[in-house]
Amino acid sequence: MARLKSKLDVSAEGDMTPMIDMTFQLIAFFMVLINFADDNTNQSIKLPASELAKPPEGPPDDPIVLQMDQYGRTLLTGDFLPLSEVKRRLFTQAQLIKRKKKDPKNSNIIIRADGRVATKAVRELINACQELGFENYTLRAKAEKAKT
Amino acid sequence: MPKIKGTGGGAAKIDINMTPMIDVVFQLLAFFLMTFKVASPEGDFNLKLPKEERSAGPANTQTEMITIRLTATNTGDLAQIQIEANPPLRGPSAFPILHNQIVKMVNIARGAGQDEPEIQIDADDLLRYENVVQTISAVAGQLDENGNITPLVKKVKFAPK
Repeated sequence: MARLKSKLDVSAEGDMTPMIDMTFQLIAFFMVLINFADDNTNQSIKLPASELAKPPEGPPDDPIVLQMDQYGRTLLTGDFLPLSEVKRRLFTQAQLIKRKKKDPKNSNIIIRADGRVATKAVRELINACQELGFENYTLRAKAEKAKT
Repeated sequence: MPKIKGTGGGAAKIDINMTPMIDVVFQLLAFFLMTFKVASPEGDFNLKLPKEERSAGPANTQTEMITIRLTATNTGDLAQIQIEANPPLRGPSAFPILHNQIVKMVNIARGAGQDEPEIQIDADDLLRYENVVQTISAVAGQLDENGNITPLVKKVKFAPK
């Protein structure tokens, strides 16, 4: 009787290896896809869509990313700012570029503006940049699949 | 020689406690799942817009300057598109028609051995910015069947106001 009892005493240990394998695969997937440049892509901004907008081949030279929400407020260095404050900060940026013996006209102003914002706000932002000597502008749009 | 206790029998099974590791791994997985955002691909339109005087014409006198006037409704929607003094374009077919007209103009200019025309966008203040981007998209290039972009107009600028 005692011999029979010891034979039936089997511990129920599941094999954890496949689950751990799978979990590590998932972690690796999410780690690879995590977006560290989140500050430069505010998700509340709905970019206008365009079939011709293709992702850039490489990073632009000295980029300054200006984001504009649907109310015409500019997001710069993490804060929504009025145009007067944006001008002041861009002036500082331009001075820093000049101190590095570079020309602001070779820098790239990347404008991520909401498609719903009034054109006047975007134009005023570009005018403010032009006053400071910036010449290269990149208008960012959501890449849309071509309609067949 | 005394027999070492425990070495004679089968190999001893060492049980590692996996619980803390699995806990941490699931914490990490939960963190990544919650912070994960599907980023839609973004593309660029590159413009060179130097500061100009209000009365400035095209940079190169050999280049033709075409002004596209975008008129807005009171709500910021697009009312009409007008290329120079041509009849205005309205409705959902306005952008495809604009694109076709620009293709014709570019082909004529290229056929005559001239540079592509320069486009000046004169948009109403109220107009929603997405319409400006659609206009730039209509004049900047065209897509072929393979999805490749053939450039049309290389110089696009905003009308000074």
